[in-house]
Amino acid sequence: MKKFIKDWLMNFAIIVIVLYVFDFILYGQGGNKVFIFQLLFVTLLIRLLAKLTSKFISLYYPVLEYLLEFAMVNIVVLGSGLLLKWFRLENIWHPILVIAVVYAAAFVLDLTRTNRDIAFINEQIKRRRGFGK
Amino acid sequence: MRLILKQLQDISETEVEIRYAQMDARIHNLIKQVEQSKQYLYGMENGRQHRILVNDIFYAESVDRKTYIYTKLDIFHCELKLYQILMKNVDFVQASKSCVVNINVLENIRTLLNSRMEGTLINGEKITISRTYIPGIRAAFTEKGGDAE
Repeated sequence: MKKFIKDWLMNFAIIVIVLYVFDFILYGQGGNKVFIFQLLFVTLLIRLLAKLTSKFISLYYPVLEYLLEFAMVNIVVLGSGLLLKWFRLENIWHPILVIAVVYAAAFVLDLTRTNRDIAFINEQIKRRRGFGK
Repeated sequence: MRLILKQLQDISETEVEIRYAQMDARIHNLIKQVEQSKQYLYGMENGRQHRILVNDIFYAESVDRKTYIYTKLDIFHCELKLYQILMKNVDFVQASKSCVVNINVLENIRTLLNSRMEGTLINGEKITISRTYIPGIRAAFTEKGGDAE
């Protein structure tokens, strides 16, 4: 649960940073408070769906898992974005671009953490083999 | 934690005495491990039932809703579900959706070029590990007395 909340808030932080940077570059303004809470909810929805998909769907190629996850994120964000009027259909490339940047950042973080975990596990295995000798 | 080993020629069964000041997760794990060293599972091989020491299981896999247990040299069909095997031993962790591995037989884990993960066991066998379960494997090592970061 602790990990889930940490991941959720970390994703939220990345999204807020990227969105504010984009908003500033494109429109020269920052977002409002209601929008932040809407984002927090959508991020929670994405984390819950990601947890469910990773639990029930296991594909042979991780690349396909990433693509599926990316498609799921796009559907959730574009769907809720249209409902909550975050963008107009003619500007649909804006959210897609934001999603791609956020997803890439989250992917790099995930990869770094996984590699760190693998290094830790291998270190522990080595240590235990050392004890056995 | 100090380790004291004594060889006594006159006892028939190995004895383990744990002296502790306070019961904590490490002591609890130690007790569980000692208890589990005597646990058995039943598996079928060529129509014959075999008693398998839980600690001897390298990994268990679910294929077409059937569970197979792999020891160093043999493969057994088991009636238990994967999650039931997972609960038999604190050293068993989920490696992928269809595989449970004994962390004591893990030789190493490496990332392959196609970003899949592969675990090598001490008998040279290789298993696929899903990235989703890496934090769980790490946690199992941490609980077993590894250094927490």
